[in-house]
Amino acid sequence: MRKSQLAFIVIFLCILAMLFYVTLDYPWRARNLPLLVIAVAMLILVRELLKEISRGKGAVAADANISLPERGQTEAESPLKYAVVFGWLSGLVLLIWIFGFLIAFPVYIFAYIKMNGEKWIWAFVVSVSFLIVVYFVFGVLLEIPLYGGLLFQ
Amino acid sequence: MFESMVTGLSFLFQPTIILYQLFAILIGIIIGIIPGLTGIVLLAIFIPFTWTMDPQHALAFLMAGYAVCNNGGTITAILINIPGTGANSATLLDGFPMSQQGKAGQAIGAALTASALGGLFGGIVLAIFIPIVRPVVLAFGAPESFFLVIMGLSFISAVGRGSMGKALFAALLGLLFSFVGYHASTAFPRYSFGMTTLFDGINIVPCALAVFAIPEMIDLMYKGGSISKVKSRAAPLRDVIEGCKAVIRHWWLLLRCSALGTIVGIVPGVGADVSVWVAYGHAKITSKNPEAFGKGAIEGVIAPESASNGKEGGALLPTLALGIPGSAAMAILLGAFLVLGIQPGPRFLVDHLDLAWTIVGALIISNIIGSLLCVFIGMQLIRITQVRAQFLAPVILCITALGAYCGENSAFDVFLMFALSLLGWSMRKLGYSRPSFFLGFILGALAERYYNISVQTYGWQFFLTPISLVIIGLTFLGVFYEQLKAAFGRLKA
Repeated sequence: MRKSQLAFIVIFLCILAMLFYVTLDYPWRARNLPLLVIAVAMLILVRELLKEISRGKGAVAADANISLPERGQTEAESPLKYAVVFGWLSGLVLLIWIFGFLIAFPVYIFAYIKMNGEKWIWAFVVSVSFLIVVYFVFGVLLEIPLYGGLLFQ
Repeated sequence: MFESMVTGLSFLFQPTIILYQLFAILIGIIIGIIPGLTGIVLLAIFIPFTWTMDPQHALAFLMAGYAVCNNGGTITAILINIPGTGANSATLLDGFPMSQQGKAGQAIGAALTASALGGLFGGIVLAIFIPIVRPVVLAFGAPESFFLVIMGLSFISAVGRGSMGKALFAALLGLLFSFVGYHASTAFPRYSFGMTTLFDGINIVPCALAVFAIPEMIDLMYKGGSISKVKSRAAPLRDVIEGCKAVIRHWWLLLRCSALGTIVGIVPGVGADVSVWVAYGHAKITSKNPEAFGKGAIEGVIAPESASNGKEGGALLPTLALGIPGSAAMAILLGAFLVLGIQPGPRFLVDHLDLAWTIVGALIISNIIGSLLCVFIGMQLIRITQVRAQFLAPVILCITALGAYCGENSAFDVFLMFALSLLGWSMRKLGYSRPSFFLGFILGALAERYYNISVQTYGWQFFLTPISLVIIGLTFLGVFYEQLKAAFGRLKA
C-alpha cells in the first residue's frame, strides 16, 4: 500500500508540473485561478510525499524482524484478481466501442455470468432480459439513439 | 413565501410525480438493502435519467430515492447483521441481538418508525429555517459566494474521514477537472489537448459515475460471491406494530436524537456515519440501563435510526441556502442541480424557492412512505442479498454505461467514465476523499466566475468585505480547530 501511495503522489506531481507549464501559455484571465490551484495542490502533495517517506522509515525500523506481506498489498488483496477485474472492465469498453450497446451488453453479461461459474440458462435469461429492457425503455420509449459501435454506427 | 410553499408542495401531488416517487422509493429501498450501494451511488446512477425530466419531477425523484436508502439498509442490519449503508452500522449493535432473541419484528417496527419520524423532524426544521435564512443570503455578493465555495471545500476536507491533506488535494484536483474546456470569459479552450470533445468540458454525470459507482462495482466484482449467506428471521406484523408503539413510549429519546442528527447534518462535510454514533452514544449515556446496550436494547435501535434520517433535513439546509453541501450525497445533489440547469448557491432560495419546498416535501413524504413500504415488503426484498455478485455487477456496470451515454448521447462520455474510474478507484483505495473531489469539480466553474467578478469589481481587496472576512475566519477556525485547540491548551499549561 505504501508503494501505491508514493506512486500516486509522484505521478500526480509530474502531471501537475506538466499542467503548470502548459497553463503558463494561457491568457492571463484564463490562467489565474488554475495556476493558484496547481501551485497549492503541488505543495500539498509534496507535504504528503514527505509524510509518507518519514512514515515509511519509521515503519521499516519497527518491523525489521517481522516478515511482511509483499509490498503494496495487504494479505487479503490479490493483484492478479484485480487484474482480472480490470480485464473485464476493459472488455466491456472494447465491446461497446466495436459493437455498440445492443450487442455489447448481452454478450458481456452472458460471458461474465457464465465464466464466473453460473449455469448458462441463467446467463442467457439475465442477458436477454436486460437487452429487452434496454431496447424498449431507452430505444423505443425514450427514443434515445443507442450507440451502434464502430461496426454498426 | 406562502405562494412558493403552496406551489412547491402541490407539485408532489401530481399523478406523474407520485408515480416517479413511488418508483424511486422502491429502487431506493433495494439499493439500500444491497451493502456497498449507498444513497450516494443511487444519486450518481439516477442523475443521468433525469436529463429529460423537468426540475420538479427530477428533484422529487432523486429526493424520494435518496431519502429511503437507509430504510433498506435497516432491514439487513437487523435481520442478517449486515448494514446496508454506513448509517445503519450503529443499528445492528442492538437490532441484530433483538432479532436473535426473536424480536426481529419489534426491532424493524421501532427502526422504521424512528426513521420516518426522524426524517419528518429534519424536514420540519428545514421548512422552518428556509424563510429565516433567505433574507440573510440576499446579502451575499460575488466575493462572499466565492469564499463560501472555499469554505465548503475546506470543511468537507477537514471534517470528513481520512487525512485532511489528501482531502484538500482531492478538492483541488476536482477544481482542476472543472477547468477543462472553454474558459467562460475568454473562450480559450483549457486542458483539452486538441480533443474537440473536451471543448465543452467534462460532463458531471460520467464524472459522478466514475468516482462513486464504478469503484463500488470493481469491489463487488473483486469480492464475488453472494452478499449474505445468513438466512433472515421472521418478523410478524403484530411484532412490528409493537415496535412502532415502543418509539412513541420513547418519544423524548426520539426527539433528542432527531435533533442531534439534524444539528450534525447542518455542519457541512459531516455525514450520517457520525450522526448515528453521536446519537447512539448519547442514548447509552442517558439511559437508565446503559448495560443493556449492545445486547438488544430497543433504545439502541431508535436512537441511531432517528438521527440518520433527521440528518437529511439538516444537511439540506446549507446545501439549499448556501450551496455548501451538508454531506457527500448533497455534493452530488448539487451536481444534479447543474444538470437540471439550476444554479446552486445563495441565489437558489431567491430564484427557486418553490423547488426548495418541493425538496422538503419529497423528503418528508418519502420517509413516511418508504418506512411503510419497508414494513410490508422489506422482508421479501431482503432476498436480494442472496443474489450473487456475478449477476449484479455486470448488470449495474451496463446501467452505468447507459447512464453516462444518455446525457449527451455521446459514446465519448462512456469511455471517459471508464477512464476516470481508474482515478476514482485509486482515490478510494488510497484514502483520497471522493466527495471532496466531486464537490471541487461541480463548484469549480462557479468559484472561478465569482472570483473573476470579485476581482473585476473590487480589485485584489475583494476579500476585505465584512461577510467575506467572517467566512474566511470561520473557514480558518473550522480547518485548524484541532491545532488551535492544542495550541491554546499548551498556552494555558
